[in-house]
Amino acid sequence: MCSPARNAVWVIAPDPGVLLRHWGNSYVAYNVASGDTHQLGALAGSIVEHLRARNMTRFELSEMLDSDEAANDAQFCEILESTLTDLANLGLITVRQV
Amino acid sequence: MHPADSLIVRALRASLPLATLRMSEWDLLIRQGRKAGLLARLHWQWTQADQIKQVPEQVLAHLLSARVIADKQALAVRWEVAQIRTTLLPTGVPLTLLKGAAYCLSGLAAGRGRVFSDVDILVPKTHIALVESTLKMRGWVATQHDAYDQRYYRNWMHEIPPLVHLKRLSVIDVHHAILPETARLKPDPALLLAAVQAIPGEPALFTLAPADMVLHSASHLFCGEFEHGLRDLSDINLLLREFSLTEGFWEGLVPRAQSLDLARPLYYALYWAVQLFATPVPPWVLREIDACTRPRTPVKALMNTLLQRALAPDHASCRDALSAPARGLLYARAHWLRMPAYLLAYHLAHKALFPPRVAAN
Amino acid sequence: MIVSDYSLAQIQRDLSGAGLYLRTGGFVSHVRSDIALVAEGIYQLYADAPVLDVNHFADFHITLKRPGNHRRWFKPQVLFSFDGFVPFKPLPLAQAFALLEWGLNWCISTHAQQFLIIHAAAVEKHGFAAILPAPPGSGKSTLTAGLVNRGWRLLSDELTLITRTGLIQPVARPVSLKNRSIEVIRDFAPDVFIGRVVADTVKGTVAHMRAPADSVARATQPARPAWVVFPKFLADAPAILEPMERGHAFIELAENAFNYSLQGAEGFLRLGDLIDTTSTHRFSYGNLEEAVTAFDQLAQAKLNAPG
Repeated sequence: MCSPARNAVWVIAPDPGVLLRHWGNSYVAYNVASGDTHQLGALAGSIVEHLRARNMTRFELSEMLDSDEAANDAQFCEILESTLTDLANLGLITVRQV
Repeated sequence: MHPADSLIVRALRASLPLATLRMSEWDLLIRQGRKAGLLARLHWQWTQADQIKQVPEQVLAHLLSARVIADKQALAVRWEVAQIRTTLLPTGVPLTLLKGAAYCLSGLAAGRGRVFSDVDILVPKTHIALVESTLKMRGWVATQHDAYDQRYYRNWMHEIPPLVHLKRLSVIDVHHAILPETARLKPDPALLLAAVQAIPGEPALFTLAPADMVLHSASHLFCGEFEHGLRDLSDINLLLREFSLTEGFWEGLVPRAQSLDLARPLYYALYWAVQLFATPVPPWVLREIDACTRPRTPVKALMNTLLQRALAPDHASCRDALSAPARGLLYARAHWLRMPAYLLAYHLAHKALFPPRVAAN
Repeated sequence: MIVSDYSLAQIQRDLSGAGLYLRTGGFVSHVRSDIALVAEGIYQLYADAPVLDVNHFADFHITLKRPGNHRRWFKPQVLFSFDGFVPFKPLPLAQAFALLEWGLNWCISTHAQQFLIIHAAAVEKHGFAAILPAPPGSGKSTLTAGLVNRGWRLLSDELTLITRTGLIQPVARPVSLKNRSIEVIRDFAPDVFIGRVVADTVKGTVAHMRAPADSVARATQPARPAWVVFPKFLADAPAILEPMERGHAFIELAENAFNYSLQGAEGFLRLGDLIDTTSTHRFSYGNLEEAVTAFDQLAQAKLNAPG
């Protein structure tokens, strides 16, 4: 799965947090503190969904998210990493070093 | 009608028998409250006192509407303060919040159900240039482009011209004092800054000390233009009630007012808060302020007449023939208090000869 | 008592004096005006609206009057005032009734934040409501006028109000028609009452269609939304109803909701619930009869559906 940096934990934005709704693969997320609404694709939406449940490392996220569709591991990890960065830039999630 | 007898003030003073109100009285109450910007506060107050069930549904709808707006603004203020704090943290300049933002972030009753607009902060004058340039680097821009207005603010006023954030469209007012340098009253900002208190649970955020918060609000109200007179007085009432629970608050209030040259505004604040909101100010405090700053009888009588109108809700049901001239006189007084006569003449002449262009919105 | 129980002269007298208290759905408006066009407009287009006692609680206190300056007489104008506050610049006197309507919409969208307010029409049949959001000029009002003249209940033609429990609070006021659609509706429903046609407004030529009496009578009954349909008028196009992806529907609905961002988290949740409990569609049409048939089929299918 996706490589080390295991001691970096991804967490959802702090209280008052993030609200999430989805229909199929289409997600909408609401950052309560900033008042911003975001439309998210399947991967980004799933990440937010998992992190709302509990904090996870990138490794744990990659285990939860990668389907077995012969996905190229390296490619998937790259996509995962860039999606995490995008979500952090939107203020929906942040990373904590433990 | 004396403002103390208006429906909205009686409601806030909790001397309105809700169960026997006629619908026409509920109607007028909502209208007065709306004009005064106090509907959300009323909703909050009645919710706290478990009286909200006594409000008819049709009336409650208007309180709820005002509450939705106030609650959203409170969230927006918190977010805005967080962005400002992040921006200014690297400068090491301590960030002291003033007025509404201070009440909100401190969780004070005066911040509940309140309408906010700009965020006001206080920084030492020596750091003003650094704060301004840091804000401008991170997305804030000047709003006053007229060279005269820039000079007006920088040379004479107690704040730099307001800055607006390009993306969020929020406005920040950066003060280095609470009254202009040209003003007749001279509260020393160094004294205020020396007494600021950290907000529990909010890293790197400060507010004025409790007595100073009251005095600032009083000076802003009674040396100003009375645009939100009743609401500002209601803030003062809530601040006094909350701080009265603090050990030593009443003992220190009048001496502090004297040291900040704000005894006269405090006099008016205490007198009117008691009159309109039955604020539980200890009688000995009233005697103390009376002894040190009671105005001469003619001034007292005139101010009483003017303030009676200016502190009333700005609704047709609360106005009389003297209301407009009273507000006009107080408006002139505010300018007179802000700067000496020669400067005032210059300022007014400039405004007359070069009227401000209407900003494109 | 409703407006048509009185004479025009009585209505005019009330408006010029203490004012008229009118119920329009969930709101009571207290209107004062000595302008004849306002009395005429109310008398004709609010014929079925309940009139209330002068000591009632009013949600909105409104005055329509001529300005105090020279525009009182020279190229006369009309001003809208909300309890002493004037939100708009004055308009030509001929547009006085339209100004009342626009003013009432302003009152709701400014002072009724307890609702999630969507810029959309809403209609109901068989107990199921359709929400029709659409930016100006997409034929929403023509479609709405068509539907309510073929058995659909008018809930609102401009502002759809969603309550805390996800129901639509009806407004049921005159339907505003613009330009071509005035003639289209006259042809479509010859018996319908359309008021004075006023040219040269900012929205073009404007007229108002009286809301069906039944819709006004039931204006205190909320309705449960079943569909969100984004309509688009395309000349000569066949009536086509297509499913719309829900995530997109959420975002487009949010963009059409005046106070979505003011509502905060509550707005997000209320809109999410709305999308959860409705089916979302795009609809294009070129012929009004075909459009109505398509909607009738939608309602019938829902009625017949099990559970």
